[in-house]
Order: sequence, then C-alpha cells, then structure tokens
Amino acid sequence: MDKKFEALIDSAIEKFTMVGVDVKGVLVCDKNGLSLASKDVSISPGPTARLAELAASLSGRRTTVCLEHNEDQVLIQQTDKAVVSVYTKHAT
Amino acid sequence: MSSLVKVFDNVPDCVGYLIMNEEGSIEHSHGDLENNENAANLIYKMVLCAAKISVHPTEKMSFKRFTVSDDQYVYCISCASQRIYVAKRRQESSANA
Repeated sequence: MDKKFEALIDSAIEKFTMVGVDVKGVLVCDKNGLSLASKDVSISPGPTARLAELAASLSGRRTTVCLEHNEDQVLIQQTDKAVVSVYTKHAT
Repeated sequence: MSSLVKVFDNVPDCVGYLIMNEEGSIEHSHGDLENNENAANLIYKMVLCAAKISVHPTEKMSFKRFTVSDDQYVYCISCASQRIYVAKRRQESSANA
C-alpha cells in the first residue's frame, strides 16, 4: 500500500512540475490528522486535518487552503478520505 | 478606527470584509460577512489552527497570510497589530461567467 501511495504522490508532483510549480514536499494524512504518507516532509500534520475541515464547513463546497510566508506556501485540500498538503515555492 | 476599514477600499472584487481582534470579537464587518457570527467564529478557529501549521516542510515557519478558496469566492486572511483582517472576494472565473 505504501508503494501505491508513493506512486500517487510522485504522479501528483509531476503534474505540478509540468505547470512550472516547484514542489518541495507532500504530506497525506487522514481526517483525524494522523500521517498516511509523506515525501520530503519532516513536520507532523497535526492541525492540518482540522483546518481543512473548518474550511469545508465555512464554504460548504470543496475548498483549498493556502498558507503563505514570503515565497513558501502550503496548499491543503480535503478529499473524500484524506487530507493532502503540498509544500511548494510560490510561482512568481 | 475608520482608517482600519479603508484598507479594504482597494481590494478588487471584494464582496465583504471582517476585522476581528485577537480574541475573536468582531470589530467591523461589511457586505457578505456583515453580522455573520458563524463565519467569524469559523474563521477565528481557522486562524488559531493555521498559526500552528508550518509553511515549510522541514523548518517551523508560520504563515503571513492565508487564503481559503472554493470555485466562487476566496477568503483572504491576514493578521497585523493584534487584529485579524478578512476579505471575501469573488473568484475571477465566476465574475466573467
């Protein structure tokens, strides 16, 4: 199962790279905030799942949360079963 | 106090804004977010949550601003001088449709 996750993460990174966005890390966790898979990320997901859940209840639709600090940003989205965080460099 | 509100004058496609203090109490609200206590509470909880999430995959770095976007609107949230500023803007694609 880990290999499948890794393959999915790699294909997602490839899609981002194709549009010119530099991906530094990907983290997948479940809705309770427990880590399922990660690539190049050493920070634990913690409140990521909670944030995605709050965003979904704010809007009622599928939402993407983007946290930014200068050039660094993390994109968080909740899917049906998991929460995905993608750490990228801001495309200027 | 009105000088705080003026910051939203130049925000394009703004349908509402909200200014809260650091404890989550609403100081100013306008438009879609006017008197919307539910949204204000949710956004306050999100700010507290987001403050603990690192923006960098290996170093601990907290956000300077964050956005919540769906297909119709985007909430732009930032904090300064012990206040939380929220602007609700229409997404470009829905404005053109």
